[in-house]
Amino acid sequence: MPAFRGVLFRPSSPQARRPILGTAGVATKARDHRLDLFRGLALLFIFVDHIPGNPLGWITIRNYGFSDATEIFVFISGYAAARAYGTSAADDFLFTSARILRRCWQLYLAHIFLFVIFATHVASVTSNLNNPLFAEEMNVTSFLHDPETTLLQVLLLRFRPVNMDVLPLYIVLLLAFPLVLPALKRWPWLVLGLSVALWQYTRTFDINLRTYPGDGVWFFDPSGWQILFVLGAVFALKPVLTAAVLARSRYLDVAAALYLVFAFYIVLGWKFPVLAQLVPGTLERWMYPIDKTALDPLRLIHFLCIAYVTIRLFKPDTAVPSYRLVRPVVACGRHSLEVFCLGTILSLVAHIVIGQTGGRLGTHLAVAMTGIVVLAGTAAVLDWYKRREQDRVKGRGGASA
Amino acid sequence: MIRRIGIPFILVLALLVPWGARAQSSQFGRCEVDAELTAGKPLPRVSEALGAGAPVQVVVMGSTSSMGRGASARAKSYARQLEAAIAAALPGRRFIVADKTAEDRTALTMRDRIGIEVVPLAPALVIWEIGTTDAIRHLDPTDFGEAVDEGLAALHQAGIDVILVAPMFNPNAPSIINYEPFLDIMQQVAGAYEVSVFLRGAVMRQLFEEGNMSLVPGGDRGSATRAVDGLNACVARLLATMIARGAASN
Repeated sequence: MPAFRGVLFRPSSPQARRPILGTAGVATKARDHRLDLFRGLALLFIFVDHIPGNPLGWITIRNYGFSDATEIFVFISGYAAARAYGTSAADDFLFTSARILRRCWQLYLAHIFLFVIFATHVASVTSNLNNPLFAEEMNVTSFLHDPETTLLQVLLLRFRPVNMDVLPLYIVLLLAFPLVLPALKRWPWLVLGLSVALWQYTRTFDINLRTYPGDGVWFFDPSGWQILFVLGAVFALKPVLTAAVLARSRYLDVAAALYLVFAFYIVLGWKFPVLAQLVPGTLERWMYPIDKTALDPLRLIHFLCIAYVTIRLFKPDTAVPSYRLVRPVVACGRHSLEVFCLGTILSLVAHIVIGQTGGRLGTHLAVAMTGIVVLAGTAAVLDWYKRREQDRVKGRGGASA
Repeated sequence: MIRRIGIPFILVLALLVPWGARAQSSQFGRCEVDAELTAGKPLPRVSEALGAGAPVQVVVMGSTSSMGRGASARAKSYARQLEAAIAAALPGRRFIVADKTAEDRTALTMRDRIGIEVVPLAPALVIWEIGTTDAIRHLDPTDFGEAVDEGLAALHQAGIDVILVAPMFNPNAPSIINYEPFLDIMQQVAGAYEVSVFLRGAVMRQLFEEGNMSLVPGGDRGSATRAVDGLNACVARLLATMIARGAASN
């Protein structure tokens, strides 16, 4: 820890509070640090949730209600995308589209890079799996023996390693964004209506994209999950909507609290069946299974309640993101792609360490904590680099070299 | 942006190289797990059949992982060892176990076969192993949940008790197969029908963690086979305990 002290635990000087530019480089407006804070938190939750059986998993929100970190990540991505690409009057359609597609390309490269790491990992653990008891599981590694098909399927985003479902979803959503964004700016309510209709159509007719090999499907169905991305974008483009929601806080406070308590009780019942006995069977049969693939309304409403409570508790000018212990999380949110990728890789490493050492409670905790420190440290280094780079550009007085 | 974090990535890559396997033989020690893992919900039909004094018919429905892969013989699968295990748990009672496991069966396939393979035997109890095949094939967890829901509804309607059997635990597989969404959904749907889930993965995890089971990759074949036989006997014994406890709790 002391090695990072200078970066992680910098005292609050005016310089440290200076807003740092986003990856999209929009310099015209102040960055909403709440976005970075909760995106960073979601990324850390995703990392912890990707190490099954980890006691630290109890801190992540999936154990306290229907929705989990993915909802936060997708909603904030939509919000951030609309702010980054939708609020600059100077940019025309063509240039905005080019910027969005450039971001898509970065995400695509990151996904392909992660696949290469994953394939290396699988090739190296295959010998450990090689016990006839797990003969069925060995089928999963068959892609190693058929590279010419597999590699093409990887490039088409159809081959999906475990826990690598979020980036392809994000890529598809952003790919459609150059066309969705202008429509959103002109007719936000119409687009939102269409988005809800598409989500419901997806849920009713069970449409989804296919994966390779066999008859698998995308774990996060883009035509269902787009509703969150669009909602995020609408809230970003129409601040009046947030104001309208907050104006009705007297009723919404009660409604959100009731729903969150209800969800908490139900989810607790999964771990402690004694509690579930009080839930009427008809309600259970109506609720279950809770659909993650196409985003169950129970999950969406749960997320909206969390988002509502969050904006009630944290005003735009909240000081929380500048707290010393919170700042590393905010940094993670600022460098979301890098932290996401590194988190995916670290979860593979964690699996190896746990698999090799027998996975006792202490090992689990140590592995997860180390991962979080590495992620926060990396984000801090990226922050430092970005600041230095900007200082350098400024030092030159903006003159091009 | 990737280039900027090159150094941590290289460090991490170095860690991806697995440690050399220790030269040991595989083994299975004692079949001991927490009692809560065999605490089942009541099995009214089984109690009823026991009360009537007639032999109790049980059917095991499952996919590849219930067929005794890696064991010395198919007869050493947990499904085929269950009859003897119940006889030991409930001495003096007669149980007949029919093994209806088959390779590569998804929850959906098995749901469709309930009417053909299970109901005609009029069993008091069905042991239904699900989840592994669906997770490996990357099938939609929600479709899986609906198939389990409909299967349980059909068994419920036919007046048959059920115990669901969850996927195995492989310490080297969490990065390759994600069982969690399937396990979550299994528990949700089972809860709605008051059906117990035998957490085979949690049982195996405890056996591994407490040193009662070890599987050494590329090690001596004979010892690996004996360890798998031991595991299957253990699963059969714990299931028998769950059945005995469920039948007694009425």
